[in-house]
Amino acid sequence: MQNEFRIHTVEALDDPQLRQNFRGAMDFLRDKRTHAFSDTELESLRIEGANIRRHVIAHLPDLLEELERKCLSNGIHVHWAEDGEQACKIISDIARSEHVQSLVKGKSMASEEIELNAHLESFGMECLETDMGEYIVQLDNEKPSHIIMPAIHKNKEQIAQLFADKLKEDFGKPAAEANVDELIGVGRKVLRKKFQNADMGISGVNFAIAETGTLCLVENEGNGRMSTGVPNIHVALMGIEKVIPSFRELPPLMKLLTRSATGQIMTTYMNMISAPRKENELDGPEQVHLVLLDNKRSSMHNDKLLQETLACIRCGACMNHCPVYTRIGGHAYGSTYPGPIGQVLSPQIEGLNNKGDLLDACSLNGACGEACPVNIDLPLLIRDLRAKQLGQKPVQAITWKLWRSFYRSKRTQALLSALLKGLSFMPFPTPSAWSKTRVFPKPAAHSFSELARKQDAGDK
Amino acid sequence: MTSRSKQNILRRLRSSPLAPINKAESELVSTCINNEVDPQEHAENKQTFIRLLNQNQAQVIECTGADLAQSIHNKVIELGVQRYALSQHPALQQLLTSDSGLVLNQSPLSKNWPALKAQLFDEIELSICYADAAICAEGALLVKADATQARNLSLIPAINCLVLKNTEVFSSLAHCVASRHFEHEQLPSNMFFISGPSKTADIQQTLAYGAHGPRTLVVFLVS
Repeated sequence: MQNEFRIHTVEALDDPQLRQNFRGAMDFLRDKRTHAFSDTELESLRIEGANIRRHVIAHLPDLLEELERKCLSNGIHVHWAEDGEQACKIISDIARSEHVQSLVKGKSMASEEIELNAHLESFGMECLETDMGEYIVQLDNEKPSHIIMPAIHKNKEQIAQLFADKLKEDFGKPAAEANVDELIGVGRKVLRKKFQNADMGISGVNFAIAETGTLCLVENEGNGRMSTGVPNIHVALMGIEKVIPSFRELPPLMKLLTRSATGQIMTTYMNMISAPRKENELDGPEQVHLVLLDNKRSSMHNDKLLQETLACIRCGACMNHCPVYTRIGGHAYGSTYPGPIGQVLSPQIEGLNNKGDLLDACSLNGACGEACPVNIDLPLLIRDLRAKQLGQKPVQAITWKLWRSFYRSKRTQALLSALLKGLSFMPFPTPSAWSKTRVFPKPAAHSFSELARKQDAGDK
Repeated sequence: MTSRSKQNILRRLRSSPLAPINKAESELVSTCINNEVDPQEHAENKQTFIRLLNQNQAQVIECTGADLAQSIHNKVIELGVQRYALSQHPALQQLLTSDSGLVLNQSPLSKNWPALKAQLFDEIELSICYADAAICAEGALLVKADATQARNLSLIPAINCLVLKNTEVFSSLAHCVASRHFEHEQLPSNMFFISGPSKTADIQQTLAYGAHGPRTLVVFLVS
């Protein structure tokens, strides 16, 4: 497991098509975001957004209880899940008790996190992703490579070929010549039939309003509204940190989310669900269920520093600005959440022993922290997790301890330098991880301390 | 299981050694929003609203209450639509019957959801709905679902028309959420903002319209 990240990274760096696809996509998203904010507006909004998110963290248990109370009084069923397994069971129990056969799913990273599709499929249910990007990656048995644009790693020729192979779509010309409108038309045709016949719809939640028991979902395609409004049962899966006190906190967070994610002033749809279909209403689900997912979020909440992870609004800006992510892409991380926020989230959800290697995917350049619209100090969180990880890596821990003890005094530091310099001229094999792609460094003829001493003597 | 899980989650959250947060962070300051707008500001807001909708490929047609029915009729003819459906929202019905003298030839909608669903997916090409409000800074319209207006009516047909009274525009989302539309007791089971036709940029960052919902959005702004 520990080596998987390194293997995937080498593979990704060796794929020029993938690198070109990511480069183009990242330039596009960064450019859109830059134009969406003026400098002064972004700063004041960031402070406002950060204050709201930190208020939520400070009052999380009370807000969750208020949300539950309001949802219940509105007729929404509320379920609590401590981990992914419990959440999957809750959802499959609802589906089985209602004899559900086919499900449509709006975009939900939480459902990716708990691997809900595989769980439902194990009961013979079809669980279809309906966000166009998610549909494409599901069709190719892949995982999303970006939390906002899941199929960002593929170009249109690859998608056209996928549709020709998997859907037997005849474009009346070579598949590679199909344009984007034609490809979207294919997805629309297939998925509208599925929406019409689905028994249950599953969605995520962007913000849940505690004061009114309202679930807010943002999207552009309309698949979110169809997944939540056409089938008879709607199940919303939500990480417990997504709650906000009232509608008053929504406008600044919406501004930060849509502009940071895609550079949009407003998404095409902002869906606000407060209840199932009422007796005299014409349509809408008869049952609405809200599943509140912990899955290690309460552990994050228990760490004074790492609780900041819970402030994230899942805009993807940190990955769009990360020089490592833009070069290796999302799949190399091998986790639901890639990029800087993934480096912080995944080891906390899946354990440092499973996902700790992701922490190496950072040069501590600070771009993610500067890009974060709610001021999460991601470089600090990455450093903190690296420090915690040292407890599991005794060799590294001893190495750093030795390094620290030598560098505490000039004398021992000079001694170590001289020793390493001497060793560097010995015919030892160079470490392959370094020398495979770089020239192994040779120590300078004179150390920095020697040069400083010489200069000092010259000045005198 | 869920009750025990709830207790466990809340217990863990309550035992958290929270980092000290300052007053500004712990007590959110609610900004006082004044929804009274002077006429000049209203005109500027309206211009922004129309510009943003146009940027999102939505068409905006300005008309009076008296010529709304004719404007809709003209649009239906122009788009070559055969089967269209009209929301039974009372405000829309009132606007369309006020001395227009024009009988719209719409398809009647079933009150039974399975039958209505089949109509919306398979028959109706264009829907006409009523928008309760609009937010100018974001270029979006607020549509509510209720006993007279199905939530899916504005979503499933390939063309969606929204009718909005000029007097129901707010400067921004912040102003709108402070209005009567967001009072707890007034909240419908479902309401949504719409800022353009359905779209996606999921394939090579190229915008394509009509991803799952309407390919075309027409807004009738009634003075």
